[in-house]
Amino acid sequence: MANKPKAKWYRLDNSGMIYPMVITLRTQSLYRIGAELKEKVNKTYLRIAVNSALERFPYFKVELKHGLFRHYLDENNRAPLVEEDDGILLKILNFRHNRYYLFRTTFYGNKIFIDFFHGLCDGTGALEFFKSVLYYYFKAANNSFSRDNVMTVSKPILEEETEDAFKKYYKKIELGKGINKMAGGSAFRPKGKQFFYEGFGLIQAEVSTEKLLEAARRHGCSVTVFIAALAMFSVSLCYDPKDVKEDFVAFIPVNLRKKFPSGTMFNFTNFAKCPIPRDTERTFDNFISVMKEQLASQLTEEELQIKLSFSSLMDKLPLLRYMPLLIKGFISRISRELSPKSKQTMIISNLGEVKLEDGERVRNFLFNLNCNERTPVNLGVISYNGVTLLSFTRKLISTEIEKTFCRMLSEECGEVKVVSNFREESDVL
Amino acid sequence: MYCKECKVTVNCKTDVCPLCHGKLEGNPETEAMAFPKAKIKRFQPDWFGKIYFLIAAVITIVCLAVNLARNEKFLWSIIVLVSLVYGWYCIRFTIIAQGHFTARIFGQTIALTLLFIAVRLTAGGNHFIFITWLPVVYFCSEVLLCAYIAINRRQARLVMMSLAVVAILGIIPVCAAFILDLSVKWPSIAVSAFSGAIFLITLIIGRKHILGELKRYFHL
Repeated sequence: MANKPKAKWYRLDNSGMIYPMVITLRTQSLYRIGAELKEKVNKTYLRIAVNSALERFPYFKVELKHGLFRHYLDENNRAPLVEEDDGILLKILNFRHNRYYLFRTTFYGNKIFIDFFHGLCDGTGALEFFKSVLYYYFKAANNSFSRDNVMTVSKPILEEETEDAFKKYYKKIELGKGINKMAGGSAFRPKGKQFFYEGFGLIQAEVSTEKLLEAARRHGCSVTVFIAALAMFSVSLCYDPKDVKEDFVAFIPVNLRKKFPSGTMFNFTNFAKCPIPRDTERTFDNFISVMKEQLASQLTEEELQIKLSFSSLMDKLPLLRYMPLLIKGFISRISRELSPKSKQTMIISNLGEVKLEDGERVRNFLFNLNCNERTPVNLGVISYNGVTLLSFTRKLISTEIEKTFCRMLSEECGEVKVVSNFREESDVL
Repeated sequence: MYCKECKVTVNCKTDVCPLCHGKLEGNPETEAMAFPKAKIKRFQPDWFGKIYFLIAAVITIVCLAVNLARNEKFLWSIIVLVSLVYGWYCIRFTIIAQGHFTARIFGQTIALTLLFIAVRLTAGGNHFIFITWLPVVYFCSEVLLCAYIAINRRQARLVMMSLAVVAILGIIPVCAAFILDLSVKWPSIAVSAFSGAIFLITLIIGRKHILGELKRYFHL
């Protein structure tokens, strides 16, 4: 009889370990990656696909457990759950109901969604897993689907897929320098009545990638700068300058793999906080130039190295490393509660272009970020097959920011197609 | 459908613009909703708690009135009150709750112990309840935990938690026997010995799993 393989467990990476500590009854760090197929989703095939993908990604076949000093990921032998989506976007992940998995697979019509808990992985890892699920889905449905650019069981599992890249690239830094870079000042928070119950509003704008690139080129900036500047500009137009007491701050996650090569599927992102002073003259070109300058200054290797090393301090400073998890969690929650001001106006995450060799069966990819009371509107961007999808998730009932954004986007890039989950219809008090 | 106000094409089944909520003209290109309508779970009031509290309050008041009216020295109405509190705990946290089995068994055993203490303090008399009923309750709890450990023997975390509870529950009867100086101590000692045996046997049999779990717990 073959020996049963040893139970696997993984350390949470330095960035991921903060997320489980700040879970509350109402907030969890979740994000959604989805795809719109050209055919109706079959639940059985999807279940088979998730199981098969987990064989290639054993480090996602895990549950979160408490250790004495930090959380860790332990092997989970339960069958993952696949359910029909109930329409509550990024609702709190009930670990027990979800068979302790850190991602939730749902479907609706011809769409497949996977909601990931950020403690498990970042967008890059999640997207690789999602592509693998798609591959196995079409394989189960007896449809041909190219395995190029997809991680399947035929490709060996590399050790670097589970490495803590923060640890790998850590360099000793001055503590004060790191704190200044990471904390930043307070930011303007979009105001308005918010949804009372769980779930978020979603407005998804679809635009041609080519036209978006053209528009960005016209303004002499990258697509990310263009979108971030447009988003901040839209926020600024929606509020009376007299009511704006803080700067507009765009929080842009940065994939560190581009500057610090790593094959990790766990978290390896940091961020750039790009403040636009509140007294900046309110023209789009002004916003673009400030955003461009800010982002460029924060994407230098030196800047990223400081932030990367600062993120590793939880593991490097003995005081933090050997502080019991209960106390660490308590301090994290208290410090969040004691600083009620927002640190960013909006999170703008651009996952980039999804590359699939055989993309005929997939119409679109979706990417939604979650939000909270302090950052009530966020924007996720993903491109596929010549189409860019800009998904606004919001806790605010009002759609004023999205309306301003889409109107300006259509002026810059031509036709903009919009869909919504009409959350406001289900939850207006 | 196109919204002139927002300058966007609306690409889902709706008659209003998702952005300005103005009426759209024309027929939708698609017949399907882009996303399902959210099934919001509204907060449910705790009807069980409210009804139980009302019934319990009525029973307690009636019992207390009868107790006082008959001028009895034995305040049995207090036992009724404590039993009702125990009943609420039992339904709420043992039967309805979906917490860990080990935690429920532990909570139930401690709740019954407190109930016995209340009965003993109110009724007075000898230590009959501590000599017989307390060891029986602890013995039952340990048998249940033992079965739970056997079923979940591969889940080291559950085994460790259950073992810790077995150890704690094992100490209580023997401590009660000596602190209260019970006339018959052997049932309590037997239950504690039984718990010690479960603890040791599980430790010996599951040492590999438990060591592995300890390594993870301390990140070694």
